[in-house]
Amino acid sequence: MRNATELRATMLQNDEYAWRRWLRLPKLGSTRGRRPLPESAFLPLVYDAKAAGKEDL
Amino acid sequence: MRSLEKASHAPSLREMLLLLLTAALTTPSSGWERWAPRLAPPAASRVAQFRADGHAALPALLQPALAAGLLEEALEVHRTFSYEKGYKGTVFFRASGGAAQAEPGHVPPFDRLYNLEERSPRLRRFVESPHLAAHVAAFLGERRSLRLYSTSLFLKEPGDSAAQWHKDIDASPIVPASPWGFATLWLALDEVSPETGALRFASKSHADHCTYFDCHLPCETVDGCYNVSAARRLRAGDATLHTGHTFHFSLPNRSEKRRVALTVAFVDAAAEVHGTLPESPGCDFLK
Repeated sequence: MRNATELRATMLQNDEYAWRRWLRLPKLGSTRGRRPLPESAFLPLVYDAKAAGKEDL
Repeated sequence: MRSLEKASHAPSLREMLLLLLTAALTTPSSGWERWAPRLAPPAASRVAQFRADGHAALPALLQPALAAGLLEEALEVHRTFSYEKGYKGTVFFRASGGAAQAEPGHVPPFDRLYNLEERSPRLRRFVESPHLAAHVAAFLGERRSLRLYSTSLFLKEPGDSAAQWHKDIDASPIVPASPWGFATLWLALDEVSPETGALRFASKSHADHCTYFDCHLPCETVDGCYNVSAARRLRAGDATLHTGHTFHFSLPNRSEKRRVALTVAFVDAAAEVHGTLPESPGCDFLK
C-alpha cells in the first residue's frame, strides 16, 4: 500500500485533471493568488439562498 | 342543464393527454421525482452535533428503494466505465479498459470514479436535487448558496485498502471563507461496517485551521490531536456529513462483502479557488 504522501500525490494528480476539466483552471503552478469561482454550469448552483429567502441583506 | 354543464366540462383529448403527462411527471413512483425526493429537515440536535464536531450521522436519509436505485445506477456506470481517450493520469479504477492506461505497477487501493452524473441522467437528477442541497444547507447555514463541487463513487471490494487520514479540502482547489463553506455527504449504498470499511472522523478537527499546506498542530499523529469517532455501522440509505476541513479516513475492507458509497461534495458559491498551491505540507503526519 502506498504511504500518505504517495496517496496524496495520486489524489492531487487525479484531482488536478478534474479541476482543469470542471473549472477550466490553468495548470497548477501557472497562476498565482486566488480568484472567484468561475461563473459556470460546471459547478451547478444547487441551493440558492436568495431564492429561498435566506440570504443576508 | 346538468347534462350541458357536464358536457362543457368534459376534458378534451388534448387535456386528457396533458393530464396524463402531468401525472407521469409528478407521481413519485413513476418519474423523475423518484430521484429527487423531498427530505425531512434535519433535527436540531444533528445540526448542533455537526457544528460542534465537524461531522454528523444522518440515519435513514434516503428511502431504501432510492438507495437501491442509486446503487443500481452507480454499478452500471462502474461496469461500463472507461477513461477518456488520451487520459494519462493515475487511476483509481481496476477494470481492464481503465487499468490499461494506468501507470505500470500501480494498484489502486480501491475504485473511485469521479462525477458519475456525467454518465447517468438519474444520478444527475439526484446529486443536483435542490432538496438534497437544501438539506445540506441546513447544516452549513442557509444564508450561503451552494454549488455542487464533485461526486465520487467509492467501491471497496473484499481485501481493498484503507484511505489514509486526510481533509477533503486539501485535495481541492477550493478556498472557502470558513469550514462551513465545504461539505461532503457520504451516502452508504451498501451495508457499511467496521469490517467493510467504515469511516472514522477526528472530531473538532474542522476548527483547527490546519490544512495540508499550513498546519501547526503540536502532535505527531491525528489520533494524538483529536478524539476519533467510532466506526459507524450504516445501512443503505444512511449517510454521514463532514466538512472539508474534518480529518477522516476509511478502514480497509476485511469482509467478504463489497462496500459501495456515493459522495456528494458541496461548496459555498462565494468561495474562491487557489492559483498556486504551496509546496511544503505543514503537518509531519501528512508527509
